[in-house]
Amino acid sequence: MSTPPLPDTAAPTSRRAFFKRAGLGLGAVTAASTLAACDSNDNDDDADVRLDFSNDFGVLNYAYALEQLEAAFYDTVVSDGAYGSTFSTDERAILDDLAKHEAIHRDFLRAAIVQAGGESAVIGALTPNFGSVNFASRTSVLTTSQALEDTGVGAYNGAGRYITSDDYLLVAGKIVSVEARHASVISGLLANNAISGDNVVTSDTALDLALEPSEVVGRGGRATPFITETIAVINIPSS
Amino acid sequence: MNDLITQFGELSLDNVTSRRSALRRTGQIGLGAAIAALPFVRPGRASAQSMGSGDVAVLNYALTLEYLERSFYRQVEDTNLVPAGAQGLFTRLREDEEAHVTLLRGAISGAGADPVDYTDDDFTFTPFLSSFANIATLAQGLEDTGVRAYKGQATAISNKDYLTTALQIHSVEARHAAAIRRLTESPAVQGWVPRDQPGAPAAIAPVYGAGNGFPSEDNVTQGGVDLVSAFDGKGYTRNDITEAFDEGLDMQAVLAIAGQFITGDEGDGNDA
Repeated sequence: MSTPPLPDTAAPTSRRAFFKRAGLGLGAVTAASTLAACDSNDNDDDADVRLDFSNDFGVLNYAYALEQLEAAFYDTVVSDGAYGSTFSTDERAILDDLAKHEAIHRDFLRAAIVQAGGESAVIGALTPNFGSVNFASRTSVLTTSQALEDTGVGAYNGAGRYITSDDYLLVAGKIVSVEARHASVISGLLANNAISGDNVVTSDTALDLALEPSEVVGRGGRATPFITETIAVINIPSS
Repeated sequence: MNDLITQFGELSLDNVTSRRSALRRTGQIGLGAAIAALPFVRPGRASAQSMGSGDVAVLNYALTLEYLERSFYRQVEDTNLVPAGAQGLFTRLREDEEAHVTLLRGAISGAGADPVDYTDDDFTFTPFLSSFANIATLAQGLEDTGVRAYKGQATAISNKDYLTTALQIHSVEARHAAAIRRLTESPAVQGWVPRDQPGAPAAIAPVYGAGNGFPSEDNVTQGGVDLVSAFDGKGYTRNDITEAFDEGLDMQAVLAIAGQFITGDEGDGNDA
């Protein structure tokens, strides 16, 4: 069994076609999120990473941050020494797939951002914190997986309205349904016939989560405990 | 309407009964061949309905698909063919689709427009209701169609609140699709759409095909770049890449799929 690749921080080259139709100009590039870009006049000036939602780069980097987190999680899962004994053959087939899918999402989003906006437009590698996870425990891994996948779905669903480019919105849609498939399958491993974690899909309207960025990466956010860096999302459009 | 009556005329009880018998006899041949021999399918029926314009048209289109799914799961329950282990899932899916119908009707009414009005009897799934294997196959096809349909309309919705709601339904359909797919896969592992759909019956094959402006589900080109080449050496197979992205589908292609099962007219019932 091959081990999924480690996070790739190398810049892709000659990928000129990436989102060539997106029409993002230099103005957007210069406004893109940057690592530790401090602004003394901003309430979020102490954040390690600032994601500026006034342009699509902020939203794409938000997605990239979450995909980094998921990819790192599954990479740790499948690399654990007890992986073969903790999970059944079928479960490992699932987790192996998830590791590949999330790594592909991560690599794709990074390449897409760099192609459209250059290296200055993409955030750096985040430092995951999985100290609360026991990777030799089936329940610990699967419940964490479920939480990450459900959160990812809710994050994409909530951020869709902030994406201005049709191309990016469609790509987000292509990814989010795969995240939802992940969440469903993992939930099914935890409980027969379950398709999500508790209190994720509403019982009266059967709607999935749609989370604001603050609910995902802000203080007390669902993904916040798993990310060492602090993330601030700024300039979220009002409608 | 006359066409519809003519169609139902072909579906006399005797014909249905003999068709069911024929299906049993041809069980080893495969569902695709059996369905291809059936006369009732009429692709595109739904496209004749009055759906309004703009966002309302998209909502009515979504509502049409939700009626289709709701009717399917209700008719499935009536067969008593769902094994005990899967009944909880099928009940859940029926309830979710019922909730989506109610939600979308309310949204359309709230916009001052008229929701399309289908009853359960406006849909016919007969050849697929002959065994649980066939039921699961169609369930997967309908759910995967729903995922592609919502995705295909994401950029067509102008109201941001409608967009968010559509995305919230879209991902629930994807959850459904994954759970159902695990019933049809052997071993029961995958919940995602692989590169190929071996053995997909004729009625289901278009669910994974290309549409107008949308590639087929075996697509590996994202953002204009062939990811198989771009990610060469990273250890991803072509199948990994196709699985990692679900594709959208246009309204016409979706209605051609859905229309195979729509045998009644919108607006002649009294849905609540």
